[in-house]
Amino acid sequence: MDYQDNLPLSEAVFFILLSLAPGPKHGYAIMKDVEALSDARVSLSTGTLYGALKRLLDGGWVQRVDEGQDGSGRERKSYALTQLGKGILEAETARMQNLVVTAQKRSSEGGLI
Amino acid sequence: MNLVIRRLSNFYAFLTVLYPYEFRQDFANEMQAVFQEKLIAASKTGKWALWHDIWKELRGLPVAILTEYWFTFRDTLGRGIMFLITEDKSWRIENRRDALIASLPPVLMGFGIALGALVIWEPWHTIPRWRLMTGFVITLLPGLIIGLGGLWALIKRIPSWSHTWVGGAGMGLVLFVKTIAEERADFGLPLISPVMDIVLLILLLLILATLIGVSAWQGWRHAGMVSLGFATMAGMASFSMAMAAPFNRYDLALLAAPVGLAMASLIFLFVRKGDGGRVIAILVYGAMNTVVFLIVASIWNLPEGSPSPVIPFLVVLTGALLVGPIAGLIGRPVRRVIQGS
Repeated sequence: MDYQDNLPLSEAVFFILLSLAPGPKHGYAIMKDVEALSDARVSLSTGTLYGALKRLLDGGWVQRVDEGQDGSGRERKSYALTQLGKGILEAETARMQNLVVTAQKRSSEGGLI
Repeated sequence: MNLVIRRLSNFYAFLTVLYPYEFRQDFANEMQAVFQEKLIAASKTGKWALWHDIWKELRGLPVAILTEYWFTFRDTLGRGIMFLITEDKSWRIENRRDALIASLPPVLMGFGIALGALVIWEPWHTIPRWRLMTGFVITLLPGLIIGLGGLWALIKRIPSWSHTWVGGAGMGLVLFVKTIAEERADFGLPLISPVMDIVLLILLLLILATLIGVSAWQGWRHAGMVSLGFATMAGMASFSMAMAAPFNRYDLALLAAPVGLAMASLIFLFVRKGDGGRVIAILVYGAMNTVVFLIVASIWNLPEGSPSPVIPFLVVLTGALLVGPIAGLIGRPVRRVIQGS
């Protein structure tokens, strides 16, 4: 699988994948984590989050994990990265690192305005 | 949880119904739970945070919903229009008797018109009244039978054989009402006003659109059968025009019988064969209606410079034939998106 075909990621998708990197999370936890990770720059609405999750599920980047029922008797679902999702997140991180390294190199040469 | 949050959560739950079927099946419950959690957390921070969060959610909702519809449509279209045409490949009216009943309307109309023409045969003012009336009854009786058949089919929730009957009944009603409205002067009645004429036309078109809409929900083949019903009545109307004074071309009206039989064969082909056969049936139906109409139009001898009704009538004939399949092709994916079936 060539992860590069899926890059670059949108900021929202990148932060959702990053949020799931340590382990499975449910919807609200992802929302809070994305906000924290992005210093409140990316604030997902419920509709946007689940729209993105649907496409990540369809693409096989994340998978659903049943957590049993919550306090109000509702089925609680969490989301976890799949191997494909992890690979794509790593590839995107590496891509951005390369960008930063390249920019820093040019900066050290005095080429950046 | 306070009352405001509960009410807002219920309102949000109501709004999630606007999402496409599959999406709301998968996520609506979770979204409601997350929305509620978000409100509870925000309410602890203060009223301003609560309303700010609500505003943010509601502001983003139309775009989120439209985005999901777009993705669902794209996925459906991604499978290709050919998939839509060939899905349910096995569809056909299995029961031979039902297929024959579905094919009956053009036979009834064709033979009714031909027999009526044989009975009348001469200009109406030169024959005894009983002969004229008998001829009229024989000509109009099939239309009445198709009308009642269509009505019965609607009561029975449109069984598989009945779409051509429903279409025939709908178009028959339109032609009947329009003819009566236009012939009022012959019976010494005042003509209807132009406004009333437009209202009547809109009402009749709404009836036809409803019939097409309901059958399109079932798929293009069902809506195609309704269209064949439309085209049968519109095509047969050409023969009635040939019989009308001052043309009195009863010889041309005799052609209605073989044309009706040919139309019935095409409907039989449509309901029993594959999609290739159906496309051929529609094309031949259209060609046949066009030829019949052009033959009848050739006897009109319109005065030089007067506007010809040929092109508008051909547009109506073709439109009647194509509106069903096209609406069906659109209706099926729309149904899948909304209902998931």
